[in-house]
Amino acid sequence: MIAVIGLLIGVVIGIFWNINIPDKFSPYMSVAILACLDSVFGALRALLSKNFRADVFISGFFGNAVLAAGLAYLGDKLNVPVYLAAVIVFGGRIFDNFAIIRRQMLERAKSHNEVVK
Amino acid sequence: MKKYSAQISVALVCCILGFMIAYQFRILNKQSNIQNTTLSSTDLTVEIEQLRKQKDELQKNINDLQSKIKVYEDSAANRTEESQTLLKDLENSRMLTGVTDVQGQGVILYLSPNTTGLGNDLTSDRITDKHLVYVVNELLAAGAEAISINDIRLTPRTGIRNAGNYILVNEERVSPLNRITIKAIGDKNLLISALAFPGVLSDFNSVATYKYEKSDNIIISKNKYNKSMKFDFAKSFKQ
Repeated sequence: MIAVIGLLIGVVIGIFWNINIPDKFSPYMSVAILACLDSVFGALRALLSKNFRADVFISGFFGNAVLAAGLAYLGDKLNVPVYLAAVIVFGGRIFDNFAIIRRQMLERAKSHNEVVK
Repeated sequence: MKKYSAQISVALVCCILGFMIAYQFRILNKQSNIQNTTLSSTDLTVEIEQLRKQKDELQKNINDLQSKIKVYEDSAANRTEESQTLLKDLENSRMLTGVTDVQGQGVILYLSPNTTGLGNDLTSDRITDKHLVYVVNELLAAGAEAISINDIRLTPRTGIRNAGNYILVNEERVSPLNRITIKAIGDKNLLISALAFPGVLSDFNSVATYKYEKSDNIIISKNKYNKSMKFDFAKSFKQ
């Protein structure tokens, strides 16, 4: 719940605060966003399986974002599309995490129904 | 307590994530808007072609009308002394505004851009509008009466400025990568001494090699650029 509120606040800030990040950083931003999304999904999964640790989450969030952006930048300089690696890994992990979240949710709904019965 | 701080951290991180996503969306929207407003290059080529054709036709019209005017003027001038002096005045002001060909002694300055074998991509190594303005200014200060750049006659209303890879003179394009010829009619000795004065052309050392020569018979053709020289805003004023 609190995560959704935070997200909404962030979106509002992003839309209305006229901050200027140079356009050339735009591709790195996209990769960083993917890394952040991955972290958030990971956190959701951890929350559901009740082994969430804030320090792991925070360090993963910023570490992944910086590493992904840094790799994309390095790839640009070396003329190797390294950002593809980040896209594939993070994309795959997002789906993995989502699959686990889905299973646990279904499991939970099922057990809840059984309890009600 | 632990749960509380964990939730705060999640909220904070989600806030950052939301900000990044919203920002990225805004940027991408902006970019696609820009793309939508530019016409495709084929459309532009067609449009340019059409406009060029139109321009040619209008130019033909202008030439016809000008030759007609000439006939009227001649017939009017033959009538009286007065009209003859009027015609002379008219001719004078025409030379001033650059709508007649002029001829006389003066200097010709050739600017050949330095090109390296690898092609010269650095804009800082090119001849720019400022160089041309500077030369024109020098020539005018030395008493040049008529000046042309690559046979584009300069008028009192000529602007010289960079536009993309070209220099626009009277809204005609001059390429800074080809040889530029500047002709000036005036006292040839004065003009040549103005150009030969130490340091005057030193700005060109890095961008071009220059050569100038005196000539007794320079022809500067009339201004092909037929923007009417009327005054929309300035009015004569007597104190």
